[in-house]
Amino acid sequence: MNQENIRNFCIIAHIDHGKSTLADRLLQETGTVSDREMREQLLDNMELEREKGVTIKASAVRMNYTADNGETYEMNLIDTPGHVDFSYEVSRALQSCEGAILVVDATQGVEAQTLANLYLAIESDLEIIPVINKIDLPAAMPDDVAEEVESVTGIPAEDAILISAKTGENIKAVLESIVKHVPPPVQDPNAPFRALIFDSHYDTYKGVIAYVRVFEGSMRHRQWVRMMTNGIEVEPIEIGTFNPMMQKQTALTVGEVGYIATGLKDVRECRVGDTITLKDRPAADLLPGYEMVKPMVFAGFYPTEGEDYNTLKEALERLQLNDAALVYEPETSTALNFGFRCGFLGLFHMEIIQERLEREYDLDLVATAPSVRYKIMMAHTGVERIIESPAELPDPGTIESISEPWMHVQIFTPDEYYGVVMDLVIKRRGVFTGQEYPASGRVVLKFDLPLSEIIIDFYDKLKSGTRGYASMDYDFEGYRAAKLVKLDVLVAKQPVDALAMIVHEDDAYHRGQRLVTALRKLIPRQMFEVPIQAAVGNRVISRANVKALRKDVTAKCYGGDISRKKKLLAKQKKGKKRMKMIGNVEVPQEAFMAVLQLGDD
Amino acid sequence: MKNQLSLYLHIPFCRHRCSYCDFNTYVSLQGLQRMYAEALAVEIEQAAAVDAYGGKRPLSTIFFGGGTPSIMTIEELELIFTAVSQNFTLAPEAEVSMEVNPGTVDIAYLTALRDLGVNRLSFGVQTAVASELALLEREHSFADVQTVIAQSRAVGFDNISIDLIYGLPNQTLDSWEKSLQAARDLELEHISLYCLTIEPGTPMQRWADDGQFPLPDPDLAADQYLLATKFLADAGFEQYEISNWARNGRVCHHNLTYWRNQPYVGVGAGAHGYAADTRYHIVQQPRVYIRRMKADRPRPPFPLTLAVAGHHSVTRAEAMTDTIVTQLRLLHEGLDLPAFEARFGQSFADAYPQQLPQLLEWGLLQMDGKWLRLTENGRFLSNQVFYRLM
Repeated sequence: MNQENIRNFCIIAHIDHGKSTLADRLLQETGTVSDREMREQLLDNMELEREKGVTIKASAVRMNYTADNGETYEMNLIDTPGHVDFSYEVSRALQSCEGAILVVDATQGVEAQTLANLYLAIESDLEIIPVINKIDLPAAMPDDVAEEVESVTGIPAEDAILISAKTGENIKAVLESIVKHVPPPVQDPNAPFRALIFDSHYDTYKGVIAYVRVFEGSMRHRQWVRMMTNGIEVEPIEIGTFNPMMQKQTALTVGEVGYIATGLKDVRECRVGDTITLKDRPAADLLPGYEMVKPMVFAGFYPTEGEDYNTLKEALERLQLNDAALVYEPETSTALNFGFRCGFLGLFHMEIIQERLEREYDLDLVATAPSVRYKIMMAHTGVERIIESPAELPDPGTIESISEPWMHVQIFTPDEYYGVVMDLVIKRRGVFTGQEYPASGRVVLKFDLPLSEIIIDFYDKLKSGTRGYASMDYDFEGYRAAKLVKLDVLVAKQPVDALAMIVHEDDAYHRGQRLVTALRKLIPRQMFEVPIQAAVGNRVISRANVKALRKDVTAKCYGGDISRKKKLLAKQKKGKKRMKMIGNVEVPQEAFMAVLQLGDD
Repeated sequence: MKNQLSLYLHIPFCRHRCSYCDFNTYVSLQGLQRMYAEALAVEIEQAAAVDAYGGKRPLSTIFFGGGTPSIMTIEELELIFTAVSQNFTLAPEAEVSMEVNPGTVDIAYLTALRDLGVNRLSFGVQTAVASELALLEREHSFADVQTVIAQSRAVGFDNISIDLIYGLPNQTLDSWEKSLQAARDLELEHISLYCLTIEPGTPMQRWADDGQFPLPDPDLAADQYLLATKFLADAGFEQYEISNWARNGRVCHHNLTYWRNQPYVGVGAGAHGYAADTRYHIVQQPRVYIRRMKADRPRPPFPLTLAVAGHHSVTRAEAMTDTIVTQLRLLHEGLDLPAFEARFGQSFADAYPQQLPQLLEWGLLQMDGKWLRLTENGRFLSNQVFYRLM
């Protein structure tokens, strides 16, 4: 294909604003997929994605479109993940494009993630095509939303294309606008081959399949390639393009989007953001912007039934095949026995992994409260230690200082919830840094906030406090030192490692109190009184007792029918089996997640 | 005692369903009573399985439960009693119990029951406090109870029991003591005390869900139980089972059959039975029951009948559990350790190497020579003992 007739673009949208439906319509309009073949939301491969209405992994597709000017264009749509935890993957997808369709729901307006991704797109010098979707809905306010888009993008409101992806209205106008406004890739076809990996997936037969955008040069199949960050060299099993399914090709040329099936067995050897070049004629430099994404949020995953440990291990191995950002290592807890400490990009990433483990591998899990990675400066030695679990915190006497990750957070909300959002953020040690009014009645509030405060219950609180209207985006700011202490929980005088948490000194007292109150309700009465204590160091800051059980009796077995009684006893026994033993105390699994339900009051 | 067999008969009809009741009983099927009695007579014949030489099994106890057995007319009961006497032999000293609702029977009815051979009456009294009777939706007053018991004595019944319920919503220690005092003043041979269980699907549960009353406090129920234990001991009653007290040794022999895990035949809709190492239950719906009894099909082997909805042979593990959850309820006898070892080829201590020491240490069980028993403390926590030994 003539480079002049290639258009690489992506779609930026908030969850539920209709990105996937628009993608489907584009595929239909260009005849890439026949109506018969059309599965709803073809680009979202996984069941879970469709249910959550979120695109988790980027994907790509090539369409051929004959425009009104009579010319045929190769249109490469690169799909982007729709959640804040995957912002690095989003940035790589954006870098692979020359244009972006900004989809905004005509009933909702611009949201925080849309805005965050829009700024990324503008930074990557992409041509923006504003599209207002869902104009078929009675509540649609396309003119107001177009004005809002103008105020955030500077693109005149009248240039926004009004569509309904659901009914198919005005889809052709979107394609024409891409042809007209998105520039073709202008890169050197004769330079050494350089292709950016913007996504990957693992295939049992073909190994890791790198999704690439060719920036310079070209390659033919059977040519050996090299991963530029680690020097790994392989002969690809095949190369090709997405039409929309993978289709083998003999060459990939400059400006094109396609795939290279590397045969590699580990996604970590072929990371998103890396540059692929040719072994025989390597390029000198990486394409800009490579980062090694690091997990930010950590939690212990433990099987409810000890015998499921190996199933959990195998399931994590399999998920990791496709997910370079997921890390895990074995962890032992005195309360929960054998499990894994897992690291995630964020809370959403964690939720997805947990759901996939439970759904696809039929595992019953206890997840401990999520935690972040703390940096500990040791006194005397001056050595810096990094911990990913509160249980690993060294003796406070040996610590010079503790620092924790902070995030830049922006929250988009109708301005009537200004106070609600402020309150929430201040309670979570947030620092207000600024605000903007992109449209009338709407405000963007900017804060710095410790990540540890975001990962527990923050998003739910934000959503419920604003009746679901607020949206949030965040990115990593840096580590800041704080007066942090370890809050221990003791059940029957025994410290429970899985319940320990690191909190700010000023919050220790009331968090401890609330945790103890919650646990007192969650731990059933035992044959003896069970004291529950929260302590910082040796100082007990809160205490409550679970009274000894006094009544547990079946008064009557009617007409000699003991089967019903036995059923109840069997249920009781089964319930007990699911409990975890702390010393002599039977503690239900829910207790280990009590910290997630503490609330702010 | 080796050939001892008991017979339970279920009468699944009531004039009215009480607010806490989830038993197998029906309030609008009284038109079926006659046909039901006829069906029972057929089932009794099937269940008795009299051999070709006319060998009948001896019964030591009979118990009419419900529902409301006293809703049956004397003629209907005659049909049933005739079938019993034609198909079983009944020892002269056999215990024949019937549950009776106060306020539904008169002297003539009571006299007729006596003539039929009923020799023990059990009245569903529940409480002597009017507001509590109203909450339970009982249709009688405590005065009705006093009347019917006086009448029963007058016609010669010398073995009378009542049921009381504690752990009721809004019931206090004081109001409970009032019921106990009223019960003591009736000068009975036997009293059963049951802690209220709010069963799913009952009006009581709906009211609780709606917040119409606070859920009964389990600690208060424990205090009520303790109070009753002391009160009835002072009144000359001996507690022989978790929920049962008797004076002068007038225990309920029929219920002892259950607690000793001995065989009994159950007939009638929804009845359960255990005999010949088989546990079984009968279809619940009276109409289905009657239809099954009209079927012209060969009878299954003893103790099954054509009305059986499900049955299974008792496995060794199940028999162990059954022995424990029944025998331990008997506070004076308890579980017979040598008999346990002889039956299951394993001593109790070997079968429960961790559990037994723990339960002894917690003071829920005690060992006394060949007997293992619940302690005073273990009585009201018996499920904690049982599930650990399952």
